[in-house]
Amino acid sequence: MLDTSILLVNGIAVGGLYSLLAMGLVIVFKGSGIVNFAHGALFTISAYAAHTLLNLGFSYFLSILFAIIITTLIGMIIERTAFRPLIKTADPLIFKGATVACAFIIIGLIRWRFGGLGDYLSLPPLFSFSPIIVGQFIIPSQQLIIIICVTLIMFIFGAFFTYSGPGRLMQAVAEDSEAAKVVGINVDIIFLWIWGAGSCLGALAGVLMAPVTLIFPDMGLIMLIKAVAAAVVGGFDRLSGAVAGGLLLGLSEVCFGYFVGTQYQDVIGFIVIIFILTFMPRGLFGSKNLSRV
Amino acid sequence: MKLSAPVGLKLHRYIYIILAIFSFFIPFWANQYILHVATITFIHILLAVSLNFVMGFAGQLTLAHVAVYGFGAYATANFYIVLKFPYIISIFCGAIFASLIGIFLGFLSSRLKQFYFGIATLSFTMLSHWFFVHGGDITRGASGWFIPKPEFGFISSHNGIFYLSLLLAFFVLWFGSNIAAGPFGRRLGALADIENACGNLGIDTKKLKYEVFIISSFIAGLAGGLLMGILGFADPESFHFVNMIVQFLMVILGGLNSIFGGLIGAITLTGLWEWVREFEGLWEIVLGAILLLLMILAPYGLYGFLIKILPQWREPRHAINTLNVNTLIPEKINNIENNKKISESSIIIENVSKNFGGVKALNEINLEIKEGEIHAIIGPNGSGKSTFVDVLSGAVFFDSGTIDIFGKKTNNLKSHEIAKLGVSRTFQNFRISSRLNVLENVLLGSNIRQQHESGAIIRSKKFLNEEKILIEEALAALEFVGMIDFINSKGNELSGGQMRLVELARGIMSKPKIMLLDEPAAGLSLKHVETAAKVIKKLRDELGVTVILVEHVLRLVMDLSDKVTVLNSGKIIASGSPIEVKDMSVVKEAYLGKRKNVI
Repeated sequence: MLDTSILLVNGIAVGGLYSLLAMGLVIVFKGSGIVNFAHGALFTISAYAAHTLLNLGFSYFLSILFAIIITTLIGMIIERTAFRPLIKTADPLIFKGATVACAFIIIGLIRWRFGGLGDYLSLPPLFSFSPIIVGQFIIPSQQLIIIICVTLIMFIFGAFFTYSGPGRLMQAVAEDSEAAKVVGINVDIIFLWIWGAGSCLGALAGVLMAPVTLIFPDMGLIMLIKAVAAAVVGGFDRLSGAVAGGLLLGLSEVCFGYFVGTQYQDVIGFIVIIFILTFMPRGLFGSKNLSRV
Repeated sequence: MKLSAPVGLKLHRYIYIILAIFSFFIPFWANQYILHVATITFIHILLAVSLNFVMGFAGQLTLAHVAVYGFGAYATANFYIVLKFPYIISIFCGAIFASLIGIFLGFLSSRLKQFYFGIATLSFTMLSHWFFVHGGDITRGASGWFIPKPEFGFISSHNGIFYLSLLLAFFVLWFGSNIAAGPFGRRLGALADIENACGNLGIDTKKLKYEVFIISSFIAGLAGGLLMGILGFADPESFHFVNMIVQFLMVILGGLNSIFGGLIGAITLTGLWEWVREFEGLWEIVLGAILLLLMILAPYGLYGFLIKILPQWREPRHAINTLNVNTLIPEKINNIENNKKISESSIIIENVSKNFGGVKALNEINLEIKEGEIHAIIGPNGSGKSTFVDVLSGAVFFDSGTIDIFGKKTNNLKSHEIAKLGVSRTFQNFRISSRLNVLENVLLGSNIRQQHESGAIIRSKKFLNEEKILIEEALAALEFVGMIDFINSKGNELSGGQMRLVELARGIMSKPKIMLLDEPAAGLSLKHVETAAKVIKKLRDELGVTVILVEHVLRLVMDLSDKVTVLNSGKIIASGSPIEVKDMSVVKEAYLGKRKNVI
């Protein structure tokens, strides 16, 4: 029972982080039709920003807040420099190359500032308390915080997109930017918001993840691929799909790691992607109008 | 008459030869470091060219090239060390193994499009890297695998690998540009830009994808084997995703869709890489910044920049210098036997139905189309005209009934198989490849007729003669539609009307027995409508082609057609000569609604 509970809680916590990242990817994908390969780098940068600010003497809460704001701004800068000027070429290869280039620059800057491959930094946890025991379940504190935060964030973002004015504008632009332009929406600015919202989700995942694992420059790449996997499982065009995909991936990874061996844990994601893409072209939850084949 | 190569191909060949001669003497003066960098450059040329085949020519966004490279390397190591094969044979065995990976990638690409394929291949790269780390005795894991220096007899090991790499790189450049300048190159252009038209051009896209992935993976496998030899060491980090970005960068930097671009990209990037090394930890930033600037300033690479200034340097996708070919041979296209047999039917359609969900797009259609007539299909929007053409050309399978084309049942035949029966079509929305120029686009039409394609690699006499005949025919066809002045324009530089005319010429090139024209006058200027009408008449009168014309411009239909069939809600409501049909009340109702008796 002990094992099961830890597995379950771990899986949900990890899956929740994948979901957050996947949501960020899906938002940008829906909005601008490209997969932001710099998403992993944004995730990394928020962790580093929080770490730096904390060391500069800011309070924990402020560090995290500023880290998220900084990352969101960087996401917007990427939109202005690596997406907007390229729209006229409209070649998916070019977009991909440009976001990859941004990721390279960001990771390079981090490595240059904070040291190379082997340097791991740590971020203290938000709260520290002893594991909560409910009946036979043991819930480690960090995981609990992650689960609570992720749930909250998802609801906030969901409500934001459904009920708030800016959220609805973004949805309209994501649905059909040409039509949005015709009815007088300033599409240019909305694109910026969309990238901001996506980056913000990446940043949130980064600061939540940082206390659990250590911070290192390449932490983003593997997380990016996991997020892509989660998004793919969810069909890549729905926020709810991304959430479900992330949870599914997190749980299956943790279980796979436990029952088969931890060295295989990272591989399951890749196998899942290839399998789902090849045999279930719409993902598990994707909408019908998504054509892939 | 000597059949000389197109100017672009010739110019590139001079460069290849000059580089090869220059490189041949490198070991005589260079130190170990320069020799090493030169060898790596050749390996990069192999990688850039092979990746360009898949990504630039065929438009498949693969991120698994580095995995293929890795499998080639580890397979070579296994053949060389474990099975004790001679090094050179090991390299080729490794390349064959890499081709097997290529088959798998071909399978993935035949199921996935665009960035979904990108994601699947990205996963495959990560999976492969994991396997290289955890592969046990097959890969010797993260700590690496020492590989003894191969022996080359009378020359030193380093020089041996250098010359081997030089030879292979030169072969790949030389023969690669040969096959690119031929039907294979043209088909890849079509695959990249107009995949949805490939079937009707008689191109089996699945087969083509497998072919290009096998070729590309074989070359990448060779590169992997060479890398093992020069490094003397196999470790997983050489095949990490980051190296995929480097390969990607080479292709983008050099220029997509060109072998010559691959060469420029490989040389430039290897040089750049050695230079960036001096910046210690900063290489990622420098490389990233260069890539980003490149994307913004010159998204089509150095090659794209070059052919903008010097268009004659463009790498051709046809094999003969078109300046030498006598352009005025309009009778060339008349050599289809012109035996009008109006009485015989070319297409018999019986009880054909097609449903989309609950909508009956075609409902129990019965129709016989005679050979050599212009048969117009008209009807209001949503009456099933386009579905009719799609069903006939095999773009869509029908649910029930039978279609006979020249006595052959076409139920569930794929579009490229129907194309081989002599059915050609044009599309409502233009489908012209922007990677090919107008001449090459038209040559695509003759894809099914090309017999001696395999000779392309060595530019055999048979192949060149055939290509010459086809080019003459293509020029005649372009003359026929009045587009002869545009042969060197790129597909995307044309206006809508011009694209339509090029599509018609492409249709003529396939020497069709039946031509399906889906709204040929849509979006054309009045002048072009006249030209199109002339072409359609010529198709029937001079070439004896059965024309099925789906059209909205009723004047055109009435002027041209021998028979008109009117569709409404998926049913045939009238069929007959234009004059008969024009006065039928059902037809008027379908178009204008029921007339109320006012008085």
